Amino acid sequence: MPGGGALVGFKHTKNPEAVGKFIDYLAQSKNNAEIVSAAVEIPAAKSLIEGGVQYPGASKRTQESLATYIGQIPKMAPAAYRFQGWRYQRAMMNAMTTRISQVLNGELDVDTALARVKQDVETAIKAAGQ
Amino acid sequence: MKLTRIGLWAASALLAATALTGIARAQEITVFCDDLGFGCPTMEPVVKRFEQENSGIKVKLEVVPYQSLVESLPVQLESGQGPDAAIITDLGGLSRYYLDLTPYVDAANFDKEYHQTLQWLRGLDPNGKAINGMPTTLTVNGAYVNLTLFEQAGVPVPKEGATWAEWADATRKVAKATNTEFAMEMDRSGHRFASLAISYGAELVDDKGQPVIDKGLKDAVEQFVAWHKDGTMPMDLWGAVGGATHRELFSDFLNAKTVLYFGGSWTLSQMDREVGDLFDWEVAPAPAARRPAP
Repeated sequence: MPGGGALVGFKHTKNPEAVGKFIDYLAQSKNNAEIVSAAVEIPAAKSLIEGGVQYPGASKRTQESLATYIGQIPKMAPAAYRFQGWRYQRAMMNAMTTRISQVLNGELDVDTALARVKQDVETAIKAAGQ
Repeated sequence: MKLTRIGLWAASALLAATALTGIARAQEITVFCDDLGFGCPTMEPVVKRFEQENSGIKVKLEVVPYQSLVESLPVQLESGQGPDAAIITDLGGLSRYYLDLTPYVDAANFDKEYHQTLQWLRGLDPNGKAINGMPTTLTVNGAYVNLTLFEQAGVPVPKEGATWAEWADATRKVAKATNTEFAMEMDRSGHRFASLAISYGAELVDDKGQPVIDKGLKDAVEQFVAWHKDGTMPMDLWGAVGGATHRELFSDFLNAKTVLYFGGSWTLSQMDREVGDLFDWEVAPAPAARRPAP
């Protein structure tokens, strides 16, 4: 499964221009690479994915691990990317976690748990006014 | 610039208090971030330079732990409260709260660098043009494997292409031979479970944005339950905690309580720092459900 975070500003801010300037600054390639390198993470920016990022502070073992992870990016199933981009991904992930635990605790059998997962997500979709 | 670690509610109370005491000379923005990976500490030096180059703007980086953010931020945003900005992971789910940055940023640069992931931030309007944020990192789920335990047990390490069943089998042998408590552990996280489900052929969502319950998902759940019942995985994690509570098990791997820990790439710097050379370890790509047909 792919994943990752995003730096976002919120509509309620009293300083939208400051927020925008700040995020724009971090989006500049040189600044972005500096943070990603210190974080020892995989970049989200296209130019950094293609050009590569140096991780001078990381051990050889860690650099090999990063390479293993990066090598997986093109191999992950399209279903994984579609799930990651889905607005209700979190609703379904929460539902799966909750209902699977209920199976483990003997509260639900697998078929009922799965039916509940579907209901949980459909409820979330409805609540969002779909 | 201030870098402080306080809880989410305290952070918001502080924000409200600042607003009441009068107008600051500079524009001040508060950003919630974690202390792991692309977060507060790693942003700090760049933010310092930003403030030097923009004397009218002050940036407060507040460390808010991931679980706290996931649980509390949506509630805050719903009532119009919360920070000016944050690093979040529910890209689609929080989309109704995002500020469109288009008037304030180099839009062409954003489109060039982040074309695919910008769509994930658009929620219901993936084909729209709003620039709703800056994706920070790509993460990939995968297995951390304690190679030292494998060596001690004299069991060969499964290679790329190995199935979940092969990993379960090998790690069980290693756990038995080395008196290690658990063969495998997986974060209590629907995101991690999704890797298992997808490898078993689960669709999870169809092209109309509706959830899919299929044989792949059922097979994955049944396998997962079986591992808990036979002691391959610890019952007191997924079994003991209720609701959707998120828990990560890095410390179990660090303390060699498990042979394999299924998590992801965002803990690499923590691995480097905390495990270091304590024992030999590697990352194995997420296992498959079955070997491809010859």
